[in-house]
Amino acid sequence: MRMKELVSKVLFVDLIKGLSVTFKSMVSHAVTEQYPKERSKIYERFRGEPRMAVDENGKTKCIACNLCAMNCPVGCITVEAERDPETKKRVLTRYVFDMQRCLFCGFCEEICPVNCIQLTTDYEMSQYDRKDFVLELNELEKGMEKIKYKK
Amino acid sequence: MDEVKNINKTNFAEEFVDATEELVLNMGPQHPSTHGVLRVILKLHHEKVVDLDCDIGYLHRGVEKISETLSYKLAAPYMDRLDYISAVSNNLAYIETIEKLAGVEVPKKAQYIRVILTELARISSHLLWLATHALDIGAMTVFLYCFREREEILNIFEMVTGARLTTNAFRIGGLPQDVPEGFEKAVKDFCEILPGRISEYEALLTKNRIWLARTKNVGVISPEDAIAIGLTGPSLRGSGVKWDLRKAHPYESYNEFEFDIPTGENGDTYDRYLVRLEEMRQARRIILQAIDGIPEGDFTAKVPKVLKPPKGEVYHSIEAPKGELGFYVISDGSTKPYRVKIKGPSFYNLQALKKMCLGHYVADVVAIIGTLDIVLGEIDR
Repeated sequence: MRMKELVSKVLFVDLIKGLSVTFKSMVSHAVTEQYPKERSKIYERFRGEPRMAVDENGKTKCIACNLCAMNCPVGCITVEAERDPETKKRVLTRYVFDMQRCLFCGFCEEICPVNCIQLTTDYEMSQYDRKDFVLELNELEKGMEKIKYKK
Repeated sequence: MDEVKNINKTNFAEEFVDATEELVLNMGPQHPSTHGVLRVILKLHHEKVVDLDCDIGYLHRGVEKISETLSYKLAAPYMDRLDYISAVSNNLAYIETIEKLAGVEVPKKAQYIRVILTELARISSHLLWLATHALDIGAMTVFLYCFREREEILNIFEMVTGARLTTNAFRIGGLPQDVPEGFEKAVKDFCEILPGRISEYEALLTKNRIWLARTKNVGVISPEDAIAIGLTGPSLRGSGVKWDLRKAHPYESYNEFEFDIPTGENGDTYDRYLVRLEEMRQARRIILQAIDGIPEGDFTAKVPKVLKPPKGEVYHSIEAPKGELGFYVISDGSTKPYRVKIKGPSFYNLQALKKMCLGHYVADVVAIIGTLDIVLGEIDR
């Protein structure tokens, strides 16, 4: 046994074994991707950029129930509403989503009774200014304004 | 003039070496091999460690206090961010504690899927540990190979839970939604490639002479010391103590699965490396048993929307990838917990650093921090 160990040490068996793994992976397929050109598959359940859904008339689906704001661990959602004197229903006046604080936990999406707020599969959310992360209702409906990087 | 003569008489170099004083060296908090923001204050004699002290708290966020201000459900995403490389395990520990407190019975199907996801998290955590540990010691190649496999696991997490790292995977009572189509296939595909990949790491490291020189007899800790300090997880099992909460106090459905507890002999860095590699294989074994036996049924139990657990206190712990992760929750009967105490494995494992490092070289400190597998997000909370 000792002899065997000595021979393998002199013949660099351990290093050759390791190098064989390296050389094998050199001729195998690449596992990396060239990011802006190639994009990996994003699964349906991915929790990315928030979006507010609209109905067929282009009006917001939000019923101002305030459940999303109450179920947010960090309190990044603000819902402001007024009671309509004619229909006696709550009408949304302002909806603010602070993306800087968002944990992307998905509780707001889960609790929403009308499937209005949704976390989409968009994941490119970088901005140049902090104030651009505080989204108002109209920004949430059409999506964040994306800044294209220019050379 | 007389003094100059005296110096010339003695061997100057020898005297100079002997006169070297002890040197205090600050390692971190920005040191890359401290895996976060750990500051280690080393007292060195030449290049050997004489004394050592850890300074923690750079990453303190007050998670325990925050969870007192939130309802039971809403604190769960914060628990993902304790040990962020095995977020699923952290979430499971918290959710299970609340379920124990409120007396919620979880359906079998949810339990099986929980087991699969937490075991995947264990493999992912061990892969990241191996990658960074090998990188610290100087084996650069392993790093990218491990990340290649970890990517597969993260894809499965994304498919099931919707996020790759901070998964927020479980809810009180079960799962947020049923597993999607293609989940079983993805897990089985991963289980198929894993043993081959582990043998690749073994080919690169296990017999490698540099790896052996850097890990054998480095950071030795006896079983008695390990128990006295409170080591848990692979760090304890590396010393030869057969203690695993999955066997000792089975939670979820772990008593229904067959698996072994790997243990080491010498309690050195090399043994802990072997133990973690074997644990990955055992985790795969559990996953394969669970995925074949997912029972039919509901994925969640009926839980009231506003959860008000009865007055009382409860401690529950699970075997997280790094060791025993426990939660101690006191309820005062309202919607918010009165107190949440987290017993993180990394904090306890870090206490062994001094015992392991004394008498070793500075370069070995890096290897020993790596072998303890600490995450600062959990130490500082």
